[in-house]
Amino acid sequence: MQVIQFKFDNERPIYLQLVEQLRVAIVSGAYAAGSRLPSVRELAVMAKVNPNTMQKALTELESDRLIFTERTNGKFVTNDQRLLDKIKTELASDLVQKYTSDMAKIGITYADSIKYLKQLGGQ
Amino acid sequence: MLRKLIKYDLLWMNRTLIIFYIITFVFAILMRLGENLTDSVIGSLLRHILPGFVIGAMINVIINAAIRIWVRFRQNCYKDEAYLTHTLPITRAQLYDSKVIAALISTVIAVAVVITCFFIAFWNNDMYEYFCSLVENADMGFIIGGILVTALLEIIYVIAVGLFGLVVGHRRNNNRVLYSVVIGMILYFTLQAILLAVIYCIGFFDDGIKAMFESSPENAISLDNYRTLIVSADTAYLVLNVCLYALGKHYFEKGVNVD
Amino acid sequence: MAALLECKHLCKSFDRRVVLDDVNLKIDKGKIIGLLGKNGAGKSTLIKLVNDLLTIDSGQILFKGKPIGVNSKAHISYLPERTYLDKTMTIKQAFKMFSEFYADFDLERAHALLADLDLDEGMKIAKMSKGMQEKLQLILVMSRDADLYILDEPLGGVDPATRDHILDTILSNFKEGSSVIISTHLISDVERILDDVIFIDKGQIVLTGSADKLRAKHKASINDIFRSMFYAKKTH
Repeated sequence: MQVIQFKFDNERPIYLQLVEQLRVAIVSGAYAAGSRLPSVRELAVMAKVNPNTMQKALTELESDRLIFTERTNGKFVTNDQRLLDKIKTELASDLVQKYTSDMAKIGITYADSIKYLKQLGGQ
Repeated sequence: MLRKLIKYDLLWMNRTLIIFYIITFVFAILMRLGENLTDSVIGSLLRHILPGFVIGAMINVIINAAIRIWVRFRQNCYKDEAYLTHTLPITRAQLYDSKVIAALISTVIAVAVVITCFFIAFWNNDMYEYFCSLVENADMGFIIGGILVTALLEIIYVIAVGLFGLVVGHRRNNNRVLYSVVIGMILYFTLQAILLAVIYCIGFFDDGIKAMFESSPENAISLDNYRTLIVSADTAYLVLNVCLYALGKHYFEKGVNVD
Repeated sequence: MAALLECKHLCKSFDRRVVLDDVNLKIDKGKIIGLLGKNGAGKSTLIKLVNDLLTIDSGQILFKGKPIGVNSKAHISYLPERTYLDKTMTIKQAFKMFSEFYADFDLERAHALLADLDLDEGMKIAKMSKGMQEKLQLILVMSRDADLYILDEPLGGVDPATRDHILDTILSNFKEGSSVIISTHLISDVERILDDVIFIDKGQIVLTGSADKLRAKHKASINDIFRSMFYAKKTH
């Protein structure tokens, strides 16, 4: 069973944070395309959250079609590589936007922020 | 369920008591063996000390049986263990009955041990002949048997008063042990006084009994008087025991307040 | 359908000191509920009433629509704050006793959980440390397939490693579809696993609701919401 580390901020709904972190686990390949996910209970114990909350998060991922349920075998990560790429791009775009807007807040232009990224990004 | 409960109660009560039983048996057997010792210093010393030990151990058995029964009831139903006892899927009536039945069995075992040890330690030919001469008289046999029953009922009664005191004392929120002891004592002496009063009242209908209360020491008490006395005492103890059981159970079934 | 557990107008006093004052409560199936309150708020009294360890002054407690009694006790698994085992017993005897009295006790699960603790079954309970006794009790309680688990301060005074172990044990073992009530004043330690919260203060229920909805509404953790309600603000 692939163990992933969950981290929470108690000030936001737990199930939203679970959705975010599971999405990252899936697009990063920690849970590879087409592979079987641990059971709800196993995931809940791993994250130290309520199985109901985990179920709610998985239902949300399922409605995004990122995972699917095979009636008897459990839940699986989608095989749809296009969907995975699309979500990865979405996540990347969110991060880039956050980066550029944070840089703008401290007075660094878009062009300069790319320079910073090239110089320091590898660290 | 009741049988399982009784099993655990009996195990708990008798686990320690068995040590006292063994000690009493050992003293009784030593005493019997000591009879055959030569007239050495040690022999005579043993002969003088052992009877005291045996009797002490016998009294110990009875006292400890009563204490184990009370302590079991208090610990199991009102102290920390109560958190488990009262959350088992059993009725409070079953719980109470289990304690009472286990108490009765333990008491009978303790009394049987005492009687057996008495025979081992003290029984001899003189005693046998004296006993035979007494029992030849059917009345005397009845009286001896009656006194033994009275003694057993009295012991059970003391234990029942203690259990009742615990139930009533623990209905309070503070000083529960104090109230339990005080209630038990008051109950004991009050009921003894009532018992005496009952026997006195019987005197109104029975001249022999009446004479007992009035007579000077010279007036011998007849066997017949003893007979009436024992029958009424045994009946009264039986009724009291049953009443204490029913009343204690009634209060217990209303619920407990565990600290 | 009747709620799993329902308290109606529940009152309890000790020597004229009111401890619970008109408590009304409904617990549904399949939820993990935090019963949250300061020390002395009435959490333990409420729990003890539900477990028949105190007499009810007035009001009613219903389990699946019926007054509490043998039937509720057979389906409620209760972890008190006290160590409640007969200390002269061994672990094995305690397991045997539980399987004799509780039809829903899973002996295999108990053995598996005991293996984690690295304890010998033949060990006398009296010889175990208080912390170990508490862990053994948690094993006994979580080895039952109950409909309702009531855990009174399961995390009181334990170190973080033990706290994680306890939460793991609870999360991995409670029967699917059953409910769990966790009473605690250490909210930040458990708030993540709660579906619903019940705030109790001075013997009264002051707030009930879904934990995630409260977080979204107040944009704060349950712990912070609780603190701002019941403690004078010390910050600023």
